[in-house]
Amino acid sequence: MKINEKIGLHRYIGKPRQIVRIMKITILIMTVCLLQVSALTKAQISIDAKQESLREVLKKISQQSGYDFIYSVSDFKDAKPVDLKLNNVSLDIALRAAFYSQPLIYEVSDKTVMVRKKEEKSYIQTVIDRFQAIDVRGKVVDSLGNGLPGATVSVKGGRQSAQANNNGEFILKNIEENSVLVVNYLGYLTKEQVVSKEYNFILMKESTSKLDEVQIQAYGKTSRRFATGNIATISSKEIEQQSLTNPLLALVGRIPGVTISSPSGLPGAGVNIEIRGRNSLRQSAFNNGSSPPLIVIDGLPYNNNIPGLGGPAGESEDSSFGQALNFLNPKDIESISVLKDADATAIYGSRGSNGVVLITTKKGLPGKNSIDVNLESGWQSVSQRLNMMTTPQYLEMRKEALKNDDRLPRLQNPIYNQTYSDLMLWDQNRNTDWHDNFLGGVGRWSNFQTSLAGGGPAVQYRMSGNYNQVTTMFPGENFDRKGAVHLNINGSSPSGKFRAGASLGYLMGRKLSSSTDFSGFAVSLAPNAPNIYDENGNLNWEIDPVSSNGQETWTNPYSNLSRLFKENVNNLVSSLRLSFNPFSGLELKVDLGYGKLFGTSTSTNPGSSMSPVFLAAFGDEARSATFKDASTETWSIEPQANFKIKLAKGDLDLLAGGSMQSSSTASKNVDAVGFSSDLLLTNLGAASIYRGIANSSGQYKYVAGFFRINYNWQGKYIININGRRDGSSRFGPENQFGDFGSIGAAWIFTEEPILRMFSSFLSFGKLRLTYGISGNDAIGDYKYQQFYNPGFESYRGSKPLLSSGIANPYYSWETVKKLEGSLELGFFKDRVIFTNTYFRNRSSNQLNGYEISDIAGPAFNLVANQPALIQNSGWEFSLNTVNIRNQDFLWSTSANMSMLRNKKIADFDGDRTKPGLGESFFGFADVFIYKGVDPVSGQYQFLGSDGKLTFNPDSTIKLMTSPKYFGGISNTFKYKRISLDIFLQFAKQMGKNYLFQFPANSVKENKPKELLERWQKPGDIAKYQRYTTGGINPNPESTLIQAYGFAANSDYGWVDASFIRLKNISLNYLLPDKWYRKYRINSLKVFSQAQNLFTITSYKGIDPETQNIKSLPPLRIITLGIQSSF
Amino acid sequence: MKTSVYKILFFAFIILTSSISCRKFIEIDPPIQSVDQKDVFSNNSTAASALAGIYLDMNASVMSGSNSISVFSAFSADELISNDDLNPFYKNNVTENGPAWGSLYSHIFGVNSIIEGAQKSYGISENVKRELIFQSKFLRAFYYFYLVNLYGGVPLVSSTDFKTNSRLPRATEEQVYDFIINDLLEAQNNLGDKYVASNLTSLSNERYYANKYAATALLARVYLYKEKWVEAESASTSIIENPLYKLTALDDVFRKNSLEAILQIDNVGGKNTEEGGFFLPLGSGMVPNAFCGKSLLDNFQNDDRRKYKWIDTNIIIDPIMNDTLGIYYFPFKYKRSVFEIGGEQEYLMILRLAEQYLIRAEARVKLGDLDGARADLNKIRNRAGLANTVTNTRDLLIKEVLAERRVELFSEWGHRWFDLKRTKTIDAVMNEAHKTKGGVWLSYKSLYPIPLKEFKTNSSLLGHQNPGYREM
Repeated sequence: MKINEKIGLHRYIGKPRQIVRIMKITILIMTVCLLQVSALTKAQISIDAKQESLREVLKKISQQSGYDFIYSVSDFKDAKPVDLKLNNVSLDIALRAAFYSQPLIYEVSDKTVMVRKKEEKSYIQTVIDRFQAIDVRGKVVDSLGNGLPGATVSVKGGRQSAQANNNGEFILKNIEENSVLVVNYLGYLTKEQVVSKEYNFILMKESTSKLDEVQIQAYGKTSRRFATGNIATISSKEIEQQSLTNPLLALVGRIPGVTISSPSGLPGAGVNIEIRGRNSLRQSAFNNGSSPPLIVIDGLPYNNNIPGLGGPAGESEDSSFGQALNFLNPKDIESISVLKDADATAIYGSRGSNGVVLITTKKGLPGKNSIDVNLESGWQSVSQRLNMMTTPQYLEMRKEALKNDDRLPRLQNPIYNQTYSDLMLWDQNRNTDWHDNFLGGVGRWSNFQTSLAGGGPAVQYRMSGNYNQVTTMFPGENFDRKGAVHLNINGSSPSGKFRAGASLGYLMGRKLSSSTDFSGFAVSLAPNAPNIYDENGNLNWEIDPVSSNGQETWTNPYSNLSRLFKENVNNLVSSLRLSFNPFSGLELKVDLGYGKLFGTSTSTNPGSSMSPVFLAAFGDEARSATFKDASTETWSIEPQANFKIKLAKGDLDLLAGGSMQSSSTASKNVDAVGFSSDLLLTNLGAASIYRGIANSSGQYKYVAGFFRINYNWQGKYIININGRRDGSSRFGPENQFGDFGSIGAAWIFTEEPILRMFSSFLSFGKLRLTYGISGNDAIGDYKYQQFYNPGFESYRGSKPLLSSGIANPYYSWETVKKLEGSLELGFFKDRVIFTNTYFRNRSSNQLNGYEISDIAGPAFNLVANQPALIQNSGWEFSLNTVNIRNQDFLWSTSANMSMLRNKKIADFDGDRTKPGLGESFFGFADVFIYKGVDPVSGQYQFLGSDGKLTFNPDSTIKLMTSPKYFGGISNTFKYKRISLDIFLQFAKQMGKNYLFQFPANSVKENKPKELLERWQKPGDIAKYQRYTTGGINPNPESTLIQAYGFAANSDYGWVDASFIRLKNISLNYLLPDKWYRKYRINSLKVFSQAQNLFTITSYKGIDPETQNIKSLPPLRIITLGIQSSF
Repeated sequence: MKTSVYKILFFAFIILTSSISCRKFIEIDPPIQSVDQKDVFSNNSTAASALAGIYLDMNASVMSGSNSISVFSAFSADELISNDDLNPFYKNNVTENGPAWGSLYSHIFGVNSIIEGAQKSYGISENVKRELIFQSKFLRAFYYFYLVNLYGGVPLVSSTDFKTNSRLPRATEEQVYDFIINDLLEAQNNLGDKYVASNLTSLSNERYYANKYAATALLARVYLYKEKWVEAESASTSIIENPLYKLTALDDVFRKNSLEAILQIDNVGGKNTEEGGFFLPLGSGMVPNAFCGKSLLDNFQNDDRRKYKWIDTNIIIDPIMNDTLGIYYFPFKYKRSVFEIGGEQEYLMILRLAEQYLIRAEARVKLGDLDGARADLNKIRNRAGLANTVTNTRDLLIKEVLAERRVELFSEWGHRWFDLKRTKTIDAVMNEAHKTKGGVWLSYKSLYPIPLKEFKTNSSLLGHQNPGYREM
């Protein structure tokens, strides 16, 4: 078929064949044009041809390149005329362009181009070839000699192909000798190698292109080059650069379309994640009311929402979402993939609509055993502070408020000692900076990790141990400690047909802290508030001298120090995979997963935290303790069959499988009251009264069958079809099963010959289009069932059963139809990769609380599908560039930006909900129009609907409060042994004006200095309204309080909260090996990392992201570390 | 050989994945804190607990306490005065959301759920099933009696199928009464003479679960309202003649296990009544939540002991000026408050014998049996320390029976409000009453407005609001 093959045949077959050969060559020589020009090694060819014959064009190419062309003139009779305009292109491109859609093929070998007709081999030749066919055996290996299981080995131009088995070995039968094998393996460069009769070792080289990085997808792997769906991945490198305790925080700003927020910077706080906006009108009970994605760890769906254990960072159920992931060691994570579009998520059926987060833990790799030791230690602190009033300013404010309200005489009456103790009793000169007291300290951050990894071709393993301790800057003893082990072992049978792998991660967390987040005190305590301790070193309650019973004049904030919150959490995540290759191309496997998280907590309220008066009044009943425990348990079984075959000129990849999953949660709570001593508080039995005793459980089961068909035609056209039928226990018996699916197509248009000639500029271009349906069942368990629950009160000696009211057995999942189009371009050999994606998710069949006529019965939890249609759409951009790459220096950048919008297209029955159609349904505020402080009365005024100024606003405008755009920019610099990573996060958004988070009136609490610019006397043009004490009848002042409320809900209450934050810096220095080689150390690295180093923002509150003055902002963490490898 | 091994493995794989029934797999256990509706009615004790839940619920909501039918309908009528001058019931100024609607329908759902659960059940014994179904039917009739009297014809809900129920239109008043009578007759025919205990199997000396006579007593009242004098007379007679029921001393009427009680309800957690908690002021110097209007007080004859036994006073004095600011007369039928610490002494009274005497008296007058009527009336009068009546004309006697109802049954279950309506004297009386209430009476106000939410959620009701009220 090819010239060199024919030569080969000639060589081996002997005479008859030789005669044919000689005859052919004779003809060739007779008709050949032998063209010879100067030998140019790097041909630069320019051709301008209009309807010229192919032979003319070839002649020109020959002249410019110096390559000889050998062909038979008779073969050219069907050749088409050529239109071509090439400017300084390589020979390869010139040839491809010239031969594009010609009935001829060519072969370049050693300065000679042989041209032949594209035709079937003659019958004889086929027979002869057949005769010569051989069986080819071999092994695909990486640079370390380890087999690459699953590598595709195919014959170039032929139909045969095979999959390497688990050892990387393959066998191809009946292959023509001297065929060329083409070997593909994800993440490696495609390799072509001529077959040998002997054992074929095929050495693969890893691709350095970003496009070839392995991406974890649902039930498999892909690469950015060939993916049809939208998958964004961050790797262990990016995770390890950050000092984190919750792996979700590693995604902040790094993945377009994903918003991650945490209500507090406290360790253990929940983390909310939202992928491409909110698909439900329903406010979910967790994840901050938004739509949480499905989280899968090593194939096991992970229940990230644990029943609350309480504590300062998780007081309410609302913030408990994202807490379970606090108990997964980020340093054991290999990658986190975020699946966004229909193509990537539809295979998760009725749970995939809010996106999927796939977490893959680290695995052992074949290679030399190595032990890594990593020590990291650092400090965390609060970098922001509010500029609060000093004592003179504060006292002036307090007195002015009293004066404004004609209440100054009160300061003479001891009845008001409690209300105005700051003015009447406390030291008028003391000035304490409470920020320094509560937030000025330094917390410690330490992490110690060691791992052992290695193995041979048969067995690979990795073991690691991690210890992490975080303390806060708050006063008093507190810590958050975690110890984790992770084991992974993979092995295969000698034949390579069977393979097994197991992975086990276990984490123990111990937390001790005060039950209080002290951040609030830093901004609320009066600057002249009393000393914390009295002269004897006891808590100072600053007793009111007039009070007969020794009433305290303040609540000493340090009393909270003895109110301890203790938490113990144990978390197990394990998985087992068994796989079997009965024959090449087919893999049968089953994934088994099991996870259990179990936690207990105790919060105590000891007598030592109470004022003497309180303790005297309530006696033993003042002391109380709360005991909670919570657990979640999940298991899954997922059998799968994967079949790969070469079909026509493409690769067909079929996947079919099933999934069975079960998840259960349980929790218990006991509030115990009445302890005779603080020492007995941890003893449940020592209480005299038990209240709020409750236990609860939930169960969730899931079963599904799914398939995926992926067809990749010559790396050019890719089509991917997903389907899933699944059943969920969250729906009534009639609606448990549903079908979901998607179709995705990708066209790598740079593989088209016409564009190949631009390949030196446009090295990669892919157009992607996906559409599909996935569902959402995140409404909680049991909602369709009617239950009877025991009442809180007993009746005639026992607890009667009360009906839970109407339930709707008919509802089913929300349906989300996702459409996405994406253009991905690579320039200059993929040194610049740009992706632009548009998506549109339309969510219908909305599950929501349903308002029903009272005559039907009590409907506390009635859920129903409603025909509302809501849309989330947006643009996502990402750019990866290698700016400088040479021997010593590398500078690369990756940046991403997203713009998300939402609107409501159709509403519920009967227009019951606001806002109207065509408008946003979240991330906006209806605000009054602020019009300054009235110079006459000193009160905030607004624009009324009649266009006049008013104190009682009645018209609003819409203000977008969700970010207009957001993203991140990461830069990596490497110079010899030094590497530096800088990551910036940014958002353009509005935020709540922090000033309105302070009390409306003047109470015994400090306020920011900014409020000094207040109205004082008629005629003043001021920024803030006059001070008032407010509150008590008769109430002219209450209008000021009301005005404050209106202002807080006006455009004055929202300010620009855009920011650019230096989220993370990581500096590494690999020490010269001569320093430590003699100690048998392989490598030694020192590094420093910093989180939240600084923020550029015009926002004046504590933090533009949390926008809450009373919770801890993201902390600045600076660590130093050393990593050595033995 | 080799291929057959693969075939077997392949086959095993398919079997493994498909043999487990998908539907079975996703069946889940109920949460530990709850009992599945189906399981509740699988045995006697949980089924009985479900009925106990219904009675427990009647302790508060609109049956007892500050928002009870007794309270708001007494405000609406010329009976009690609220200490809040702007109380919309007192001012007859309920403009959009009528009272008790949701709560009564919620109770109806509860009993419907028990009726359905018990009817489908095989796990409970026949007598328990009978108690469940027919006590529920009695209660359902009781709830509908109040709905029809507060609102007129209302939607008739008799199942738990919310899809159908939430779209039901209003039935006529006639249909509602037919439904009530039907439920009561069934209850009367199927419930026993004796009172059962909360386990529904053993008998009790207490009267906190409905028996045959509870159904009969309500039936007598319904017949009276429907002017079926013969039926009313015979129904009340069967109770009056039963030695189980006796008129007691005035002080003992509302005590627990009072011999006068035909049905009482035990209180939550061994406390006293919510009703007492509302009517009894918290302290001697405090204005009561509700106090008796002049027209009610004037209705008592001078030597009527009820005026002192069932009404108490609080005198409010200005401590500085030492002036009497006001004397407040408040209902003192219940003498114990839910807020009181100490043993449970009173139950919530649902149905009592005195009403039956007055029903029969009225029916007998209508039937022309004036002697019989006088005898019944005198029973009640004598207990209150009043002499026998001497009235001997029909019209005067009817007036006297109605006046007697007013002083005997005040602040109980809306009797006065309903009597005014059924005797069609409401306009005259309320026009007079508004001279002190300080408003304007319009006759449409005798019915409350159906809550606005209902028109948003049930299109069948659109256009069928009670006259004089809006729908949105």
